[in-house]
Amino acid sequence: MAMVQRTCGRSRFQRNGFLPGRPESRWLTAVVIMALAIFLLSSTPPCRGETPPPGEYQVKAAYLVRFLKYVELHGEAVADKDSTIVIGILGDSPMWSAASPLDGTRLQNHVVRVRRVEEPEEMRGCGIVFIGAGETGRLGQLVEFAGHNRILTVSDIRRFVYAGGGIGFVNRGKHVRFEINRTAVQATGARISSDLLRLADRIVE
Amino acid sequence: MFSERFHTSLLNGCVSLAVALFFLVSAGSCPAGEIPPADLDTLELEELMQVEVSTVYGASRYEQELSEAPAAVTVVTADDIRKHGYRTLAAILEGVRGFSTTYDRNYHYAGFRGFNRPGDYGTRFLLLVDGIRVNDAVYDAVPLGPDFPLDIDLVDHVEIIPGPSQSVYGSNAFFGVINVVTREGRDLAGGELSASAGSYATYGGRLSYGRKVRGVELLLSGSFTDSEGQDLFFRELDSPQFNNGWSRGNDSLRFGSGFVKATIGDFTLEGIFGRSRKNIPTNPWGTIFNDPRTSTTDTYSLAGLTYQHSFPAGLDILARLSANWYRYRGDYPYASTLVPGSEYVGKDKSAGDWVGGELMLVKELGQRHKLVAGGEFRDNYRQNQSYLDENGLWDDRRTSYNWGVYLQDEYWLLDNLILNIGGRYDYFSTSEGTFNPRIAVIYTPLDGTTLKLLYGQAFRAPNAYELYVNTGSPQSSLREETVRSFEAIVEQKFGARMHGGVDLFLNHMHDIISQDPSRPTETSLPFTNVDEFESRGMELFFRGAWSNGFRAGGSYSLQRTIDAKSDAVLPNAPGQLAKFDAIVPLVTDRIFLGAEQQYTGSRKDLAGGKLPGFWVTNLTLFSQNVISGLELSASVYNLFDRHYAVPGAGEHLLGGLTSIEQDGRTYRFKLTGRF
Repeated sequence: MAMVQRTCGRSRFQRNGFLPGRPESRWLTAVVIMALAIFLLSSTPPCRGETPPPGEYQVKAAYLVRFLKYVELHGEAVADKDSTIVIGILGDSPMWSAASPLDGTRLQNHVVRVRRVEEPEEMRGCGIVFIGAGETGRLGQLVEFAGHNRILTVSDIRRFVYAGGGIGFVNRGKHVRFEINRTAVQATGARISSDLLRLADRIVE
Repeated sequence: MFSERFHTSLLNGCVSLAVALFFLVSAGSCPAGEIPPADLDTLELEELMQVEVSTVYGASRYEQELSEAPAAVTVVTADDIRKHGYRTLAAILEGVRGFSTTYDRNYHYAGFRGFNRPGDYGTRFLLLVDGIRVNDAVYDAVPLGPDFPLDIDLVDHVEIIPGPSQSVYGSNAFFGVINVVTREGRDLAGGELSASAGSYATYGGRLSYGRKVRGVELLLSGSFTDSEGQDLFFRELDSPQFNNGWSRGNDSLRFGSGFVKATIGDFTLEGIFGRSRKNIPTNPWGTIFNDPRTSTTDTYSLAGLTYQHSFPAGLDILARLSANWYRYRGDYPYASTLVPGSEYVGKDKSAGDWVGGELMLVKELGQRHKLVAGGEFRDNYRQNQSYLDENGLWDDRRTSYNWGVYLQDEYWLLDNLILNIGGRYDYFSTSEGTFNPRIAVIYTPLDGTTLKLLYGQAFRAPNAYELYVNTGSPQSSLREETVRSFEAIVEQKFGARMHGGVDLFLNHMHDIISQDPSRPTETSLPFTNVDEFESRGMELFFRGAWSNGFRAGGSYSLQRTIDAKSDAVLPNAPGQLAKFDAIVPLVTDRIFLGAEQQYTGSRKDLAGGKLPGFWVTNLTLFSQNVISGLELSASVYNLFDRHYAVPGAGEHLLGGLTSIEQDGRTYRFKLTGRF
């Protein structure tokens, strides 16, 4: 990456070149157009198993369900002891499209239901509510409402656990990890397993 | 002619093979081994914690953490690179707001917010690969074209941090930091073979292998590119003396690179090697025009050993040892002045080697403070330059060292108000010590609204090339250059899928080190500190991403970069930039159209002439799941075949060229298979 600094005047050297003319690649144009046509016309169905690596919110959605194995929710948070636990998704978040396919998942003795929630009042009846990042503006109100109604809150809003939230997702490089506000979780009447606490990236009291 | 026919037939063969493969593999079986998202349900919590996600930064290049960064950070992901058909770092930067690049048919150079001095080597950017410094020890140069020693396919994402980041990154982070993060072995989970063919007999190939086995993660890769290049017409040299302006067969490129990365626990060892040889179709420094001997060869070798560990309670440690070996050779044929009628080839060489170490600690203190403290040391144990011509040998051998320490605090004054304050002291053995602060206030008054006020200062010490070339002794009058930058950014989210904003900036630069073409001596273009420059302007930007895979963004820059004393606009300082990009899913998850439209406004060349503005359109059709294990892309660059030129540097003026014509419409067809 350098240039010599010497100058020795312009060259008087001259060579006999070819006739002027700009090289054209018409054949290449045709091939590219053909390739484009092939792309567009092709209708091979996608194969199972060739999906790209999971997206951030697919992993977070899987976490949401897994948390239910490690947190024993307050009795009222489970609609029916042997039936349904509702996961609410609050706000316009990619989490909805990632979690909604998990609706109907069976976990131990429960069926997991995933429900969209728009307003705080609609959180009633949910065992867990995921609060989307778009709800930062009214986070205090949401956390307070959830606390009063013994609903476990989960979010990927930054510093969520410091704002009184229960479990907060954090990105560590390419991995999704989580932090726990033990006080907030216990205030909902839920019991956290020691395994979950051990795996947490950070525990806030 | 033989060569042309050979390449044409070879290219035909490659394309036919690719098309045949397309049909052949269309009926193929599904790959095994990857985990479909649905199978995530079966993973235990510990296993989920090990899953790597494909889009940590989100599909929109934007996430909340970025909005809290003390800069307007842009992240370009591997997905963007594939779907837009980016071939070089320069092409990536060209799509980032505020950036404009130039290509003198030898190297690529980046300008930022209207500042791109012709003849500079990109020294005002710090280029990192996985945190390892790429800028060499002689020129501090940033390789942005094919000379970048890493195959662009091995990039996981590129973080572009504009503005002075001296307070953490140190020298060369003058206008910004470009951090290239490479893929991991597990991303490949096997082998990957890629082949490409494009205009002007350009062929490329890559073979990579990556896997994680029993806690050891490995990635090995090798690449090559070979391009015959094109015959070029230079209107300004249209005289019989210069072959009527035609330079034929002098635009070739040959590039080879290797990459190895091994991760065991918290340790990562990596090595990068890249060598590029470029024929130069112009006549820089008044060399003989249309001469195939005019060429440069650049070799970068980098190595780094990094230890990174996150301790409980929010303590992160990063320690790194790194080394960079750089070799350059330039062949410059001249007509002899001693023996009329004869020629000679000037041999320009340099060797820049350094070893360095750094340590960084990140500690969260309570709820409201995040402290970053660190230091680094670099020993430039070889800074050699030489030039041999008919007048004799100039041989200059130097060493130098530098170190720096820094401290930064991210202080959450309120839940919606962050104060980010930091400073760094640097000492260079070739110049004086300097302290550079940075202060940022990031305020979120309303949901989705972020206001950033940034102030930063940076300096750049003259490098060995600027200090010693052709003198044999330091140019005592050459001082470090400084920039003070003020920036105000307002960002607004529009729902969960879109955001946009306004960015106002003012950069005030002192003592910029630059070639002064107005004062050429008999043998050189001296480097001098040239007064004060000012760059001010406004950027508008927006970006959105939708769940069906459609995403789009754009920016418009209105800027004015002037000599603060004369008020004259600087050369190569376009007053307007506009950039639009979109990725359109034609068939969900399988076929995408990547489109870019970029405008660069008119600008002056070094001779005072005006080069008109131009639009460039690039299109890429990309397929990732039509054929199992196979990705295909077809790209057309400069779709409408716009003819445009960029300003030449002082060395081109010496050869009689004020501007350098750029590529017209070109194509690339690329096929990547996994096994």
